[in-house]
Amino acid sequence: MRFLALSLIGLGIACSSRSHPSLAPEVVSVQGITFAVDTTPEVTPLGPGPVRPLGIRVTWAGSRGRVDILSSPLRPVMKIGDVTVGRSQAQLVTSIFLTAPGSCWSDQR
Amino acid sequence: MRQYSALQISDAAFNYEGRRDGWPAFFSFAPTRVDTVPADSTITREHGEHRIYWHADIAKDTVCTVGGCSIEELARGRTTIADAPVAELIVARWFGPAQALGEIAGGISRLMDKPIRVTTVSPLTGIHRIRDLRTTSVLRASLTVPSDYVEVPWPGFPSSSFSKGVNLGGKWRTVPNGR
Repeated sequence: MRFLALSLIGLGIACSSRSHPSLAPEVVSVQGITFAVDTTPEVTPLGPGPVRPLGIRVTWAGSRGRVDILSSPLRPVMKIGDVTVGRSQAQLVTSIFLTAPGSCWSDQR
Repeated sequence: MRQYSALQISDAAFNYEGRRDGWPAFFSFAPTRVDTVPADSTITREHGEHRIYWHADIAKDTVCTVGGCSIEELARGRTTIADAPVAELIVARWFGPAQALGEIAGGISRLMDKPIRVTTVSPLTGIHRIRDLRTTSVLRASLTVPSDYVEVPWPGFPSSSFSKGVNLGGKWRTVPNGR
């Protein structure tokens, strides 16, 4: 069974290699990939009204993923057909802590 | 108090062969009707199972929008969230494509600077272009939940809903293995 945890984090995680001066780089870090989601209107369909994508950065490494919420458009709660879209908790926290991202974790093991 | 909530992925798979494993025969489309509802409406606490179907492609046409596009398929997959507010699909839909790109044969070097597009079909459907795809060194600690975070249920969920069978979230505090 797989689980995904969404954190309501508003602060980045204050870790750096300097926090582990005695450890080799491969111990404190893992190779992975990262990309951003392009939210420019020219390339991203905005959807009806205020349904717009989040500005996010996605990272995958070491069998886990992480999504950092970089920006969140202000939008009301909407009902689209049978679907109601509220504010993501990650968005909510990001809106409170504007200087830091929200995050998500995924464990695929 | 810093908090986090957990949700369960009940099904997830992807492939690099273009197969639509587990996909419905076709997706039904209907006219969209948009209503704005009050933020404190109980309707915002609705939740349920959500199925996400996605594919990642390289768009070969620079002026391509929706349909009629010349593409190179990279991966197709599906993810089912057992029970969550719909809004969480905005982030949950990225985990399948992220894993597929992260584990693609030969790495992502040939994909850098290519116009990669990810389409996700779910209660929230979207076509997204990704940018700045690159390899990176990730701090293991950034892939864990900090020890001072406390798990809480999603708004509208019973208190018994969190971390069933996952050691009360303990797995998220464990540094992942891997190179």
